[in-house]
Amino acid sequence: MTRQKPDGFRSRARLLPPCRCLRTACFYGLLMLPAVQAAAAPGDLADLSIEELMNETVTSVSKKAQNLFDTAAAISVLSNEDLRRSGATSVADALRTVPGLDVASINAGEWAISSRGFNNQYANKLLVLIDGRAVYTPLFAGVSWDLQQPMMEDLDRIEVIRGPGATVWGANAVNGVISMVSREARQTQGTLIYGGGGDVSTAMSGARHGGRIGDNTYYRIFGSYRRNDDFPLPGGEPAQDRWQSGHGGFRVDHDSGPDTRLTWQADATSSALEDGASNAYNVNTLGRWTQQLSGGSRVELQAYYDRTHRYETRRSISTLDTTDFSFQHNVAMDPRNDLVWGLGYRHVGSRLGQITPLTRVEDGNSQLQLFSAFAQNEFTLLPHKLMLTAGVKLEHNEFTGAEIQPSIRGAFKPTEQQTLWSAVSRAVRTPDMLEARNTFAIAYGAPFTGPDGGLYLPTLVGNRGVRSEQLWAYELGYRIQPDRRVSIDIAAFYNDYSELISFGNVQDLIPGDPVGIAEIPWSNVLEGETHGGEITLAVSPMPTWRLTANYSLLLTRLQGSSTEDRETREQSAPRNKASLRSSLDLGLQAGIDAQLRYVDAIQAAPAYLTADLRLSYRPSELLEFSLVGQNLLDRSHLEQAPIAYSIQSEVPRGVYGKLVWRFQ
Amino acid sequence: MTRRPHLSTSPLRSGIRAAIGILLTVGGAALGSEGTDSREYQIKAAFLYNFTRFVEWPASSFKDADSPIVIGAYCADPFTQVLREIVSGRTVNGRSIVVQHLQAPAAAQATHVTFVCADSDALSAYVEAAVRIYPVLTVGETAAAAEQGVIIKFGLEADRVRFEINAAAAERAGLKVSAQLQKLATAVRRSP
Repeated sequence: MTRQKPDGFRSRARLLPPCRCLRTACFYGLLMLPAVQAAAAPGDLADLSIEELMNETVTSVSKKAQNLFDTAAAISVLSNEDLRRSGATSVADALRTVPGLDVASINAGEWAISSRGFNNQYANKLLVLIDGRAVYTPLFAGVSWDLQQPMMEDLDRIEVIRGPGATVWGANAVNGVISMVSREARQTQGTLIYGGGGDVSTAMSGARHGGRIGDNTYYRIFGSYRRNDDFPLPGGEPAQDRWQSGHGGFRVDHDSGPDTRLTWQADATSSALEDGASNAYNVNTLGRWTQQLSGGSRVELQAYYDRTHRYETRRSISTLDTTDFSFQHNVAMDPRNDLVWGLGYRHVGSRLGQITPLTRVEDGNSQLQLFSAFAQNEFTLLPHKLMLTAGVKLEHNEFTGAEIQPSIRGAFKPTEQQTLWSAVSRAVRTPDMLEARNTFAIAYGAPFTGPDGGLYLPTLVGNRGVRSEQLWAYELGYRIQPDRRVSIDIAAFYNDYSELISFGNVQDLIPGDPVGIAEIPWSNVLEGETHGGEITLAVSPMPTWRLTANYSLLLTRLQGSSTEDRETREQSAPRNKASLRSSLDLGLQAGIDAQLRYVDAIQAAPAYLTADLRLSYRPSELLEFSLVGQNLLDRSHLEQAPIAYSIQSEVPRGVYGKLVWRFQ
Repeated sequence: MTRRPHLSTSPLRSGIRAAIGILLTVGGAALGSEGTDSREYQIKAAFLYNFTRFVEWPASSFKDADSPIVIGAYCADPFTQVLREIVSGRTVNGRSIVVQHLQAPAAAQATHVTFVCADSDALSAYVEAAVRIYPVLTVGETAAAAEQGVIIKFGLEADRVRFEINAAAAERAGLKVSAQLQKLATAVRRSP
């Protein structure tokens, strides 16, 4: 169903139906084992279109997985099955087993997630998309994970690309791209209801109904609700960070002809953290038109509107309105060239209001525009053996003007079962509203006595002259499938960063009564490099049992004039991470999934080893019971360094039970 | 995707290639088809369901607007079960789909689609009976079935399920096969 995304080996079969999601989902990530991963249940086969059926293989790896195997990028995919069997209650937690990703809980409702380093709550080098809609906030270029609660039962997959995806996705995809793709309405027909709860995840419930209007229009409507209890503070008392969230929406897919597809979806999410101290909501709507042209070319046009509002007693009140248009044209020129190019425009309007004097809002209203264009071509130098992809993205933003991000990738297949790939890319992280505008003045640290004897409060302020962070990334990877049941994937990288933005030195002392302001502007004070790699081994000793082992290494070295922050940055992500997952089917009705994870220490949190276990039982095709234990090895453990203005708590051991009921 | 001609074709090389090919096919078949619930047959069952979406039967073959589409299969167990799982709860043009295990060649009369598996004994008797009944979409898997005049014949190519359409047989049977399905077929035979 999904068509290969530009940034890698492209699918040969023009028969494949149009890619549903712009610029995102067409990567596929079956890094995992073909034998267990690709085997859809018979019922699922009937969901495939006839063109997709023609690509299903009888004995070996399916075409989707094969294309993934040939991709010149470090990519992993969590399929719907992986998500279900992980027992994760949110997409943020589901990402924990992806190699190369750092996922750390700050408290019950906030996460710090990044790829290949630089992890904190405001991790800004990762681009996250849901169905083609960017969900990062231009305020601090990070993601509010509490508002990302898509219904996991209806997610088709989550694709994670480590390394710059900047050519196709743009600035901020510096260290990686996470793209979540939901299933088409055609694939979510019928009614699904789920409910459950436990001691930490106290309640989770949701329902979806999918139907059809006429022969060519499919729809689904859905709603879900969840509630989480307090996490414990290091001392053991509850951290008062409990939260609840609701989510609802719909999707309509209409085929107005054999070659035309229209999609319209809208959803709303609300989140109330810390018992009301932080409230947020998001409403968004997206429309997409995909037209397959003669000769194998395709055009896609997408538009979305997104409003995110957040009220945080410790920070500010903010409302951000994003309107985004994008266009993409896949040109099938000849069998040896696959060209894709596109244009994009985004407008972000923001209104901020001050709540606390510690986070002063200086200029809270802004309108920002972003223009972008990209082009990428995949050259087949030797069919099935040597492919080269070259692309460039041009962007113009209000803070730093024009930015150019080129990338070149090559894939070489010495044999059918091996792929060797390499990539060189330049990527850029443009400054966010916090850094480049006179938006906020944030108190940082304790007041000190200045040279004139007066008291000054260190305050972080925006800096109009700040430049974009830059990255030159060099990547190398190797995949081999020596046997039908074994596959190995290795990816290594060397990232050379310059102009990293952090808070430097005091620039201005503004006397005041009783306390003056010591202005510290965000500046390009750091540079450095990270290197490391990820290795994944997937083995299927029996058709019903799959084992996946991951190991990730990350070494960071930074230089710059901001000593204190440099060390924090260097040690903001663990050096070693490893995980072992086992998925075992007991007959047709039961299954056991287990996960063991080790995460190395960071500056403020010790290393931890944790395990999750999921038991599932399906008495019939329509019903599934599951019992999930999470973080079983410890009563609780700390995962992330303390962050200004955030509650910090430890992740506790928890158990929950869940029932999923499907009926037509 | 264009196929490049091989450079050399010495008899020895072709012989070896053929032997390897046979070995792989047989080996693959041995690995792949553990029975009629194997992946290959699951995919074929999904194809049968899809065929009902792309073929038009004359109005006379249905009693009324609610009559189900009947797929009859003459195959070893548990193919019928696999097929039932595939079609369960699905409708085509508002009609539900019903699967029947054919007990006798003449039972094909009550079906709209008849599929005769390769490993069935009395294969040719079933095929022969089915192709004389109109309007039934006859589906087979073997060259012999194709020769006897089934409308769709399954094949395997590069580890994937493919199908050929005998357009003349479809016309004789009074069935309209959609252009889209014909486009996807590896071959469309027009001569009777």
